[in-house]
Amino acid sequence: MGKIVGAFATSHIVMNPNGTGDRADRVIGGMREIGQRVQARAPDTLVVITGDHMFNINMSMQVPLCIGIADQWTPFGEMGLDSRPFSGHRALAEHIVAAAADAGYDIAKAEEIQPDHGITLPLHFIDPPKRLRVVPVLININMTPLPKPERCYRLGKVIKAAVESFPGTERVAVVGTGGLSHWLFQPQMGQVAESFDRLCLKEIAAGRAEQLAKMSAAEIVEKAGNGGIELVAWLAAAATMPGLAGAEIYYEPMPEWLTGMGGIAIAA
Amino acid sequence: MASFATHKLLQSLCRSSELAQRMAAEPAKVCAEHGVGPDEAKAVSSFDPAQLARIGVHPILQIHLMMAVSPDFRAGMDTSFLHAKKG
Repeated sequence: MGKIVGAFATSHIVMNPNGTGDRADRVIGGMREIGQRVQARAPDTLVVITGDHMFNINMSMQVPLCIGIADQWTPFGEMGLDSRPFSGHRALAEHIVAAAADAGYDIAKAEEIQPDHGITLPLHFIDPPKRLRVVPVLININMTPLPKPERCYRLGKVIKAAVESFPGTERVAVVGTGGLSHWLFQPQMGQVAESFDRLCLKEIAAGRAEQLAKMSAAEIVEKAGNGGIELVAWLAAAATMPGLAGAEIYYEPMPEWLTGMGGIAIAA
Repeated sequence: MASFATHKLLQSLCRSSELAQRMAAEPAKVCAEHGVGPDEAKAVSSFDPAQLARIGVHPILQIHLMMAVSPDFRAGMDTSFLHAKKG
């Protein structure tokens, strides 16, 4: 049967490093370490849990949850990011969708999306040669109602069970991407909720993501901004290794980039 | 919340460089062509975050708009420097 070989979470954006001192280098170094830790687990496949930034799922069709099932993905390539194609994993993606349906999650299937920076920025560090297969799991944080953190956490447990019932010996690393605190085009834009960010890192690293998931979406938005709700992707990823302690890999408050940047590795 | 006509226009910008260039050069005309009402067209054409917020443009689509019309905003978001660093 398949196996989850590591769960990871990381911010998924970088911006112009000018004026950030050595913090940008530390962030990029942290992202690079996340990549190395994923590689060290020798996965065959990545399940990347993130949000789409309206390059694919927009106001025309507001899908709460979506899993990419295609054999190959061509990234959108925005912000100068790599647009070289990479492989999908149809059988595993379909298996997760079916398992999720049995667990009460009706998830849209996508044959044709162009993964954006939520996936391609982490991949820049995790898999530069594009050798791994990738199953995108998209949680829509841009529509109302917002995704419930507890439901996203349970979705991670569903993904874990699906991988562990997948025939064969597939080694799967799960990566949740987004966050941390940021306010996009809100009056607080440019603020960073460092204490909240560090609390999240500490709790997840201590294996207490389930407790963190008891917060409401509104509470996360209040404390970490409308972009901070991307934390739900971290919670889902952590749930694939429930209760296990991990390591905080990096954290920097980056007001110049309008966000707190962090990353974590569990059982890796 | 801004109208769907406005959001539909803004979410189209990332898929057409020609539309993005026209939006930067003649936003009022582009808004009219896409059925955006006068008040929202005025706000969109201002490229002013306060005006965009006033009519309820989704924050992510505000980013799409700024990436389409502002070279400085695009430069701030550009990740090309990563390619010069060891991945």
